[in-house]
Amino acid sequence: MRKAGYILGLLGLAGTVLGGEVVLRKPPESLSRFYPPISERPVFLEKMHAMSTALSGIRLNINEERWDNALRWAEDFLRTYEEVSRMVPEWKDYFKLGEARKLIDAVRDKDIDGVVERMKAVGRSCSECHADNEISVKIYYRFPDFGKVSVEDPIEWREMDYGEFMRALSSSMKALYVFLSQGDDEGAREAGDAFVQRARAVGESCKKCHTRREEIRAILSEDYERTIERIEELLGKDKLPRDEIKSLVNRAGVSCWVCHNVHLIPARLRSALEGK
Amino acid sequence: MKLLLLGFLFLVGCEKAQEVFVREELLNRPPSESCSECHSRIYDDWTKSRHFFAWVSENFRKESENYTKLKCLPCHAPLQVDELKKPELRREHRSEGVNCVACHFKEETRAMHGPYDVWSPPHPSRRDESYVRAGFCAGCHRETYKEWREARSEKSCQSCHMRVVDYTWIVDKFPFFLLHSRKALHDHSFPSLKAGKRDIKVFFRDGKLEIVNVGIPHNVPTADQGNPRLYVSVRVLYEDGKEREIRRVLSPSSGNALVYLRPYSIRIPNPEGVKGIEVRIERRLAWKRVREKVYEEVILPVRTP
Repeated sequence: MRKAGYILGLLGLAGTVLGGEVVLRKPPESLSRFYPPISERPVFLEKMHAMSTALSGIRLNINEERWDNALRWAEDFLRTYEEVSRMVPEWKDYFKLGEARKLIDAVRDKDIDGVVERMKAVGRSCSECHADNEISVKIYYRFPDFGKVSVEDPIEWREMDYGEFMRALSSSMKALYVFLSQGDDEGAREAGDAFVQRARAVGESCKKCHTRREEIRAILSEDYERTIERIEELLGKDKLPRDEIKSLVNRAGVSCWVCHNVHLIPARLRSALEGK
Repeated sequence: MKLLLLGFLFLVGCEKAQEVFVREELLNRPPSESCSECHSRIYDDWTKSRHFFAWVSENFRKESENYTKLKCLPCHAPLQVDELKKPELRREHRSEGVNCVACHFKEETRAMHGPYDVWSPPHPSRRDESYVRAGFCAGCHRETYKEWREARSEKSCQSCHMRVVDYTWIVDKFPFFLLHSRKALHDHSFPSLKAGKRDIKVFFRDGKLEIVNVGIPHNVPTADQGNPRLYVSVRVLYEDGKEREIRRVLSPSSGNALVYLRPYSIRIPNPEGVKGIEVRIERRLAWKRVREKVYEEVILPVRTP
């Protein structure tokens, strides 16, 4: 039971340790065959989950002394481990195929010390690969490629790439703020009108991935919509309530943070990985 | 031939004849071309429809990232369309999009369903009232259906997008059409239709230009996932010779499409000096690049003495 407990704790050692420094590299091209849009499903990720589950299967069954079940999971693990080692040739050196095969022998011999040793070796191969590649793979395949997203600008009536549209949105917001601050009501009305129209159009980009209304609502909330509506309404007044509009612009900005907090850093990292 | 058929029916009765003539392959989700053997006119209409292009549309291929956005797929190649129910994705003939069997074949009865009570030897048929109700379209066109319900219109989706185009035989193959009476033939090209001057009214009052959808009992434009648009161009002409242009893009994703009978307002700067307002509205369908004019008018201010 003591050794079984040791196995239980062992999986914790397989976690990724980055040691205070992160170096990201663009994932090898061969990996793209196993992720959308080339593959229908994130096949590579599913294989990772299959291996992780198989390791849990070994551990749980040895703890319960069900060695036959543990052996089946070990065989499952080896099959997937070997398969994955062939999927991305650039990563083949991470894999310790000999150790994975010896893991089967150890489970078959009910040799707990052997199992612990082999799982440690195999776990190390996983964590080494994860330390080098997991973050960049997530950035590449989990987060959207904003390079492919375009938005039709409601003011200029032309397609803009996402960066250009964001700059246009931000410029009209800042112009509104500047004109309000210096008491130029006519300039504020014009810039405010552009800001309101662009702030509404921003949802178009969310819809490229977030297809359910509830998801969009979580990003561009009802409060955001009401705030934009209120800004539009106040811009129509004869005398502009400047401070109130400024405060509403800040309030609308909450939705900017919500989105930027999730997407901005991965998008920047992705661009950097692509050398853009 | 007609006499022979009638004689045969007389001898063995309709049910027996059904068994003799039934074509099993029609009950195994055949390609739509099989349906065209007897329903060529409906088939031809359908090949012009967006339902026909639902899967192969280049726009959809791109937006679904090469068919990997799995949640988008069921409505573009549904297995079975049922009232108010989101369909499942089918395995076969996906390139046919929303095809004949998706809408008409029901697994539960293993029969072709439709709005008519007909006797059809090659396949069992069932009359199904859901085919004339708007809810039939709601499994996929959910947002439009919600908008239509809020509009409280008596017209259904089918009233406008599946109008009666002829009064004829729905089976057009000799000699089978002789066994049927003529019926109203509904448009299977499901036209997207275009709003016109009748449907959109524009008013200038209280310093605001108001655009009202008075004719279409759902939002204009409307879509669940695509992004059709209305481009509103307003040129304000002032008494002192100055001009000002205001532009708006109305779309479902911006949440500013024209709701039935709810005015959409645009504030006009310095309204007291306005001589006239040129209003031009164009639309762009989600799958097209070109804009088409739907409304153009000069609105004059109403001067009260």
